[in-house]
Amino acid sequence: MILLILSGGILSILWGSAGWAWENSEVDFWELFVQIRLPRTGLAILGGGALAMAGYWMQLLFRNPLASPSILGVTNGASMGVSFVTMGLAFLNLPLRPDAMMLASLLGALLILVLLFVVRWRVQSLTGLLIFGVMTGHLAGAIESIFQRWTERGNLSGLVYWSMGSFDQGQPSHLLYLTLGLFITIVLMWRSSKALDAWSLGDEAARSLGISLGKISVLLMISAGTLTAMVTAIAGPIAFIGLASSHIARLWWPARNYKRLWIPVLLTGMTIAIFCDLISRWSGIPINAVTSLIGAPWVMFWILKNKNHVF
Amino acid sequence: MSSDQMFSSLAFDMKVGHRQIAVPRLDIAPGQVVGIAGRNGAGKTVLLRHWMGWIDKSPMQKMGLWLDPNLSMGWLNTRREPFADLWVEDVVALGVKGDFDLNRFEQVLFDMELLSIRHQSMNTISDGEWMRMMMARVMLQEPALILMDEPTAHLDFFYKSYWTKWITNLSQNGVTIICASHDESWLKTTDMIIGVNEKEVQLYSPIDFTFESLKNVHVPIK
Repeated sequence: MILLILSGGILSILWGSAGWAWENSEVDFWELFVQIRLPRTGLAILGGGALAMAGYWMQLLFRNPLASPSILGVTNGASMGVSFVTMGLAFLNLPLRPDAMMLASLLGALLILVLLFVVRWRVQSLTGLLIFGVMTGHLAGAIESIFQRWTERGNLSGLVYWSMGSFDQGQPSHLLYLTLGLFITIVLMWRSSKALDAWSLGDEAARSLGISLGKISVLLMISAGTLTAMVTAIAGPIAFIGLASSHIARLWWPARNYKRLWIPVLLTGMTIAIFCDLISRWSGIPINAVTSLIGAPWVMFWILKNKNHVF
Repeated sequence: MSSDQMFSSLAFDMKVGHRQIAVPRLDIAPGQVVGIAGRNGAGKTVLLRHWMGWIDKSPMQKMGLWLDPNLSMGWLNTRREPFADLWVEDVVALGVKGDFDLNRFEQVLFDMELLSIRHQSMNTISDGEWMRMMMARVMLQEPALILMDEPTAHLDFFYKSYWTKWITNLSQNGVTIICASHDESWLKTTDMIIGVNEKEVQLYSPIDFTFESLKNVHVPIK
């Protein structure tokens, strides 16, 4: 899997819309490498890993194999923030700035996250929280549509492009933030490995082992939500990597406990993202469509195959 | 695993639905097996959850219902979580306290006949194997008191017998058991029965206990 990521990464750096690195003499390869291809490749690898971990944590949080980063409405919150800023800047006759879009995306995602954080204390049932997250996502989606309707046509194209998802907006600073976010959340969760395994057995089993249900659920929610928000802010909403990575990792890695499974999940997410990005660049199809075209049949196949048992 | 002290739980009031039920002080000797009897919805599970310290509404209950604050308690989990996907040995290892003792771990897997399925996913094993897996986990916790909520409800005759022998063995080694059950024949083999009815919790002698002897039991009119 590491070899796959490396080969995908090298391919991603050497090949792009400007062709193979050695073919095009008009472009300064070093400039192309540092400013475009390396950040893009790095963002695809880190973003894929972050989405995979976020999905895995959400599946653990809700004890539901079909939970994904968008399930809590965090992705919709990010989209809502971007739509609001696009509309607002157009209204004020100000140019649309990429950094403003990213900040708005992060704030929108965090708004939903804080809301869910507060609701977590009132709604004890995980199913209730799950439904609340889905409803929040619908609400944010509806508000996003209203903002889009009020947005000037000239600015709407940027918004539509962002909503397709792309790793081409990657900058070295983004890579730094994402690396930090990924590192901190992974360390936090790694320290809670035993609690996560106990949590997966249900509330009673976890409590009988002295696990604080409130602490572990908040930790899972914040970690998954933060990584989702970061990736969505930088690369737009990207589907299915979070949903499918943990299940694909289980296909090639036998161990099931958290301490032994998180690295395969991370590597799987990175591999899917880098190759989906390559397909996206090669075909011109947006990455969100590529991940959906691969991910949706995967979920359908998985449900049909496991019609009686979830795993 | 064993303790020489008497386990004493304070008297308290518990809320079951809209009912308030008075629970008397309870003193149990080490190694005693105590059954909890009552109809469905009477409050057996709520009582067990109070004793596990999972329901803490009043300042007194937050401090713990047991007089010994260091009392080590175990819970035999019988509820299957459909999406859990750990290996059998992962689940058993969750019971390890402190440093990992491989010999002890392997011994418990051997004693509970889990060696052959140790690398099997927990959602592919039978109810009986599930029970043995949870028993092994509790054994590694080495509690002085184990609480259980209708553990034999889904088990066949063979595994019920297996479980009964396990309880007897634990009891002989000084481990105290408190178990909610609908099995009248097993309840009669216990040292004490706690009857939960509509209004109160009472102690019964197993010798003359029958479900009909529980006061205020709701009996549907034919």
